[in-house]
Amino acid sequence: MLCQECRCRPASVKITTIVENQKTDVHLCDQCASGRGELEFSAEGSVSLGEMLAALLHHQVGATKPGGGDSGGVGQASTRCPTCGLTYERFTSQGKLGCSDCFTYFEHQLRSVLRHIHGSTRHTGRSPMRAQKTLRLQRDLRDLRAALEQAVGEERFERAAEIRDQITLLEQQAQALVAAGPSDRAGGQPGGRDESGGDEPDDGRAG
Amino acid sequence: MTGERDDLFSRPISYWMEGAGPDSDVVISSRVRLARNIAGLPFPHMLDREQAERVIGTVSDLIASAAARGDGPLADLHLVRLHDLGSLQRQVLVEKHLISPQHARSPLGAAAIRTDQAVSLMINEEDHLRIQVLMPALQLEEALADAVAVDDALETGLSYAWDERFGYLTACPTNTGTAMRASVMLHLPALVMTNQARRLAGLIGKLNCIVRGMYGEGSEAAGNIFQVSNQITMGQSESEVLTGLGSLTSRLIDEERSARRGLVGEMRPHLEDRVWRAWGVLTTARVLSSREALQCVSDLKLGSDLGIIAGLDAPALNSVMYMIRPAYLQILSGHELTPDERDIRRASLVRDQLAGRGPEAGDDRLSRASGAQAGRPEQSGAA
Repeated sequence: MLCQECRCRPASVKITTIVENQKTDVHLCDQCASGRGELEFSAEGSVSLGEMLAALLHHQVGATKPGGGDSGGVGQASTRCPTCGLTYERFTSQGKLGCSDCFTYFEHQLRSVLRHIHGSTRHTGRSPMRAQKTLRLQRDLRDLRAALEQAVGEERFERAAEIRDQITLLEQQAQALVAAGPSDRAGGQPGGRDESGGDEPDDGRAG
Repeated sequence: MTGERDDLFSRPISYWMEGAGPDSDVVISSRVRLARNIAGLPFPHMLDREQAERVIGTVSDLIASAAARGDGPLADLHLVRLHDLGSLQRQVLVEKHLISPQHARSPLGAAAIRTDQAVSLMINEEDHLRIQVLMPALQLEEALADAVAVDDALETGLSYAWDERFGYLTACPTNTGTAMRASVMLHLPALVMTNQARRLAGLIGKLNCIVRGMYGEGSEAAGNIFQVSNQITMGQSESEVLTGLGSLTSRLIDEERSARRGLVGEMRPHLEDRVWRAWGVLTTARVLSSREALQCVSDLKLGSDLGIIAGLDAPALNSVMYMIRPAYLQILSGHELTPDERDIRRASLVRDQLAGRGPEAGDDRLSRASGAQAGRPEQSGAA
């Protein structure tokens, strides 16, 4: 059955409206259905998350077309993720990101998408065991580097040497953690479209 | 292995469905699903065959070593590649909620399923891994605990795609963060009969939850069965999400019980009529559509919960609910059936299933059910 609104795409959603005991059924495609703001219970007419995302992305693409005054290359809809080659345009049409690095590369646009969907852009739940260890190491390293700087400043060189050894040890542990299991960045990247050379995110959070 | 596999397709219901749990008069089952991706690999829709096999191989190795040790949450999982299954077999897994409809169509997908079918691992679905735990009745916390145990066990052999700020990274941003979808399957016949479903839909939406039919997105709410799940996965921890979904569920349970009390109090003869008609249809019909069967099973479940009809325990009715599904019917027949042949086969199967379970007229129980206990009916005992 064809969508009763656009009459070109197949209908995938049935919307049942009951007004004063008068029941009306309308069969719509996803696009036309998500354009209506009236979907209700009965599950036959509930808005799926996919539809919600599609409507949101459709709206957003219009607002962030290249040359729309967005800062740098990342804001442009035609930009590709250097790791997997996915364009933001393709993401908006299919609703799926290509790889973990898309989150870094399209971070600017994704923040607004995430805020719309979840009302938040900050994860507050569980973290993987490996990440917990990495975070602990990173925090300890940060503290030790500050202590090292202070010791050098105070010309306590013996203490500084001790701290430097501790730092070396922790750095080795951090590297071992990354190397353990399937490495975060080793292989598996399709196409090898790495144009930018250093694809490491710049805020030092990746381990 | 073949034993488990035969069971997987030949038994209409999963072993876990026979278990008991709190609030089973309204809550059929609870489910927690965690989405996970493996660091360093593109998401499944970007994988080539070799990479997809690598994901399956990683999980397969973990299961094999757990099985060799003989313990741990992965020890009892059995892996099947979806392309090794026929389309009817894949569809039965969908009907049992062990894989998603989308996953059934995935040529590079696999599933690892525990013998009791309470735990399933969808591999190469929308994300590399989807850990799913199903439990009878209202047991969200317990389901999360089991899912976390599987999650931790998997992590001993792989590294997850994760970001300190965004949490677990998923192909679709609607899942990013906790990547947890928790849901309860509710039987809400009295709320539907009293036209209160629409009013409650507003409440569900306000509490960041979604309502769907029995088979998820786009499925019909046949048989008065609804799936309510959390909508957001970021900004709330897993336990905060479960608390929210749990309190919404309690509210829906209260509303449903109160509507049931109202029906018993005000329309007892009509309710009884409806239940006994359902019994009549299911035990005598010769051609039975899936929709009619589900509606009748819903009426019988309600009648059984309210003590109107005795001798029908929940597993027996749940069995009927699952054995009338198209793929199961066809597997049982050993070949594909036209829709009309299915309706005929369905009618005879349901008659057989209910034969010998003949309810003793439960009229004596009705007087009790219509009293103060109506909202918290006891399980109808043995025949």
